[in-house]
Amino acid sequence: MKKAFIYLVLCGLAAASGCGNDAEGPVTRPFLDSGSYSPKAGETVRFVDTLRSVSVVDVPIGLGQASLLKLGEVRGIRFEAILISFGFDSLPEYAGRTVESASIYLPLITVQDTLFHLGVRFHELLGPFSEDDVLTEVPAYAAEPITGPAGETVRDINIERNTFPIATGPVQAWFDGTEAAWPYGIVIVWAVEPDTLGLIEMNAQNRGVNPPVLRVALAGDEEVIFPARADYTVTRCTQDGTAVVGGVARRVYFEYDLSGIPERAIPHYSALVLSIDGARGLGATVGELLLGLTTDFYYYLYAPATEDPNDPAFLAGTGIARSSFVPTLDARLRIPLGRYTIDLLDGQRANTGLVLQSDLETVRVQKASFHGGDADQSLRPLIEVIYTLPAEFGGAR
Amino acid sequence: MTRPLLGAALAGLLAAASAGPAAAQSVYGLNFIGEHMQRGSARHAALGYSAAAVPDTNNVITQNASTTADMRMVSFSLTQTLSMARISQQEEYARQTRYRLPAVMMALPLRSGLVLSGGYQTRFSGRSDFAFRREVEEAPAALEQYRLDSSLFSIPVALAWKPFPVLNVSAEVQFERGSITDRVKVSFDDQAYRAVESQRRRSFSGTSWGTSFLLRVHSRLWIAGTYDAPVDYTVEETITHTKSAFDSSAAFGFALPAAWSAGLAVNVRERWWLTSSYWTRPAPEAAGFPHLGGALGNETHLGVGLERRMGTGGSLFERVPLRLGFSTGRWHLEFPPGTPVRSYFFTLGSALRLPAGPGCIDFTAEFGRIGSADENGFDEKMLRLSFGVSVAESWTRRRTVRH
Repeated sequence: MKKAFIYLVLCGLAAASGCGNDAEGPVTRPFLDSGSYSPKAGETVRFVDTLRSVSVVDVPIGLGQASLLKLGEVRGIRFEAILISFGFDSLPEYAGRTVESASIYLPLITVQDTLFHLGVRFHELLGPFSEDDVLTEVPAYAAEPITGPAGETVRDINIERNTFPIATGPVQAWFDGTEAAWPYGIVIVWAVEPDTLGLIEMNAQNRGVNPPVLRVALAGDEEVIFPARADYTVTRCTQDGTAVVGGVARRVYFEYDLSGIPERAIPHYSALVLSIDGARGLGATVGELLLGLTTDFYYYLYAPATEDPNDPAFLAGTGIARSSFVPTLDARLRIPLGRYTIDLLDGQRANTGLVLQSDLETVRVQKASFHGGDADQSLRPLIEVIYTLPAEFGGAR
Repeated sequence: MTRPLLGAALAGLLAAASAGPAAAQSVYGLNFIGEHMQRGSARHAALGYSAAAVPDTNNVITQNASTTADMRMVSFSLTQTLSMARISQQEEYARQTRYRLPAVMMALPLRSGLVLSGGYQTRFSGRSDFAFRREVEEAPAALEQYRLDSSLFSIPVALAWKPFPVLNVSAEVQFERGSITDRVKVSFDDQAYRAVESQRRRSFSGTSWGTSFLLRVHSRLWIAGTYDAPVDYTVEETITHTKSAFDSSAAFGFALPAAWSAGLAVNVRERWWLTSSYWTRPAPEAAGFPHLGGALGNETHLGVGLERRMGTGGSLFERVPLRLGFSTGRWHLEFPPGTPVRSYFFTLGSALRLPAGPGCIDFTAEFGRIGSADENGFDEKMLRLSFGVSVAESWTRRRTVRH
């Protein structure tokens, strides 16, 4: 009898643990379709708005604190001038000495591509600058270039040439005390438009090692070095189109309309969808890669506080997303709008559009280019909202 | 040694109870208020629920509350059912294993022939959890998920009385409670996508009463009848959504008509008894279920059984009871409308006496089919295993001894 009990219990346990379940889904379908089982999930819809307007907004920003100075153009970013201010604090110690030669040394670290060379002129600046300035244009400089020993005005910068002798006459005047030594510094500007564009990168004094210097050889086999105490690359974006540029800075403003979404919609997901035009993107220059920087483009998406791009409040607002992507690869980029769209559809926020900017806008020159509204249908920017209508629990459908 | 064995038996039953979703049952229980659970223990199940007229001095879970009037000891009964089904619908099929929430009842003899009993019994239950793929353009894979969790239960408090040696009667108050919860969820296989969920919860509450009798017409013939008054449920419905602005609530009434049954038990030869019962309830109104208007009919159940009752001598096989039965039922639900859902079950079972003290373990297997592929679109072949434990103990009034 006792064994019988044990067998009975074991049978019960075996039955309890040895049985599994299959998915019920397919077999229950007729109950749903007929309405016999009345709950019914609402329809799920992908709503697409092809954007009412996409425009770029240029925000004056400068990168005076950068570790590299650049000249040239790459992916539509033109580095059109370098400003250098030298420290002449030690000059009085050498007053009256005879100058035998003088040269400007630019610490080149890379030329992209190696055959690229650029004709430049050196000019004396007519006004002061600071690395904290926001310079969107080359500041005023003397019309007459700083000449070389033979009177040459155009110098060619290339991978093999980083030292540029200058005429000693004006330099001797500094030592004689009859002229002030470049009180505002110098500017290096393009002399000619090269046939092929490229980029020359060199150390800035902010990097902390091997900065640009002015070398002066004095009689008696003595050399005086005047290092850069401030330097600056004047940069601008030469390409039109839907591009977000850091360092310049250019932001893209998207205006959209969600009025086509039903009031009862409950969003699952919403995103700003962009197609990256990798051929026009700039993640990092060769010099930046040598410094260990990545090619990732860090972006920040926000809803501006106002719809008016001329209002200073437009430059800030409600942060929506912050992440990164590689701007040099063609890809479909979905930037999730998260809770923002839910609040928007609930009427808790006003639709002031979206602004996309580089999250390193004041740190790095980068460019992310996107296909615009005139591109192929599959590449156009859009806002997508995937929503489901509330389930119905009523009677027969 | 007895207690460990009893403990093991109870542990097994509890393991079965907790090993999976409680309650339900047939795929048809997805509809209306779920699948109706016939009253009765594993013994009654083994006789095809034909045992309304079978007196039982051991089992508190009965088809007929008046049968408890013969109990002499405080008794406790528990019944647990495990069902395994294979559901076919055209080319599709699914295997399902389900567990019912156990029924428990306790009886307390107040004096000879007067017994108070109460407990918990599930009246209707349904449970389902299924999903379908949903295609959304340029979006990750989506799932449309449905989940039903339904249980209407009864807490009966019955008083059984034996006014005459040949007659038992009972009166019963039934506190009816329960809820039906439907959840609908659309989710995506991507965490960036928020799931959208809607839920309807209907809370049922009501009070009812019932009465029954058991009459020994002859030493070899017993007849019985039961009556369960209508249940007027108050239903409070709340519908909630992921977006709370769309939430709503309502209240309405839902009535379950009165049900009655009749049964007989005939002693055909020595320990062999033939039993039969018929139970029915008219079609309820479709209040709260407007989509089922015209799709609800009378519910009926007819069972016949043959039992060789427990003996006292001989081998184990000669002593244990043998039970066979057949039952057929018709659900309230008609699917499609106008076509009743019918069930057919062959049953067999037995029992073992507890090694020490009064009590037994009943075990039953039911093989059957619910619905028809041709008529209803679904064919559900089912094996139910039921286990029941009944234990009893004499309680005596504490005596004060004075020295």
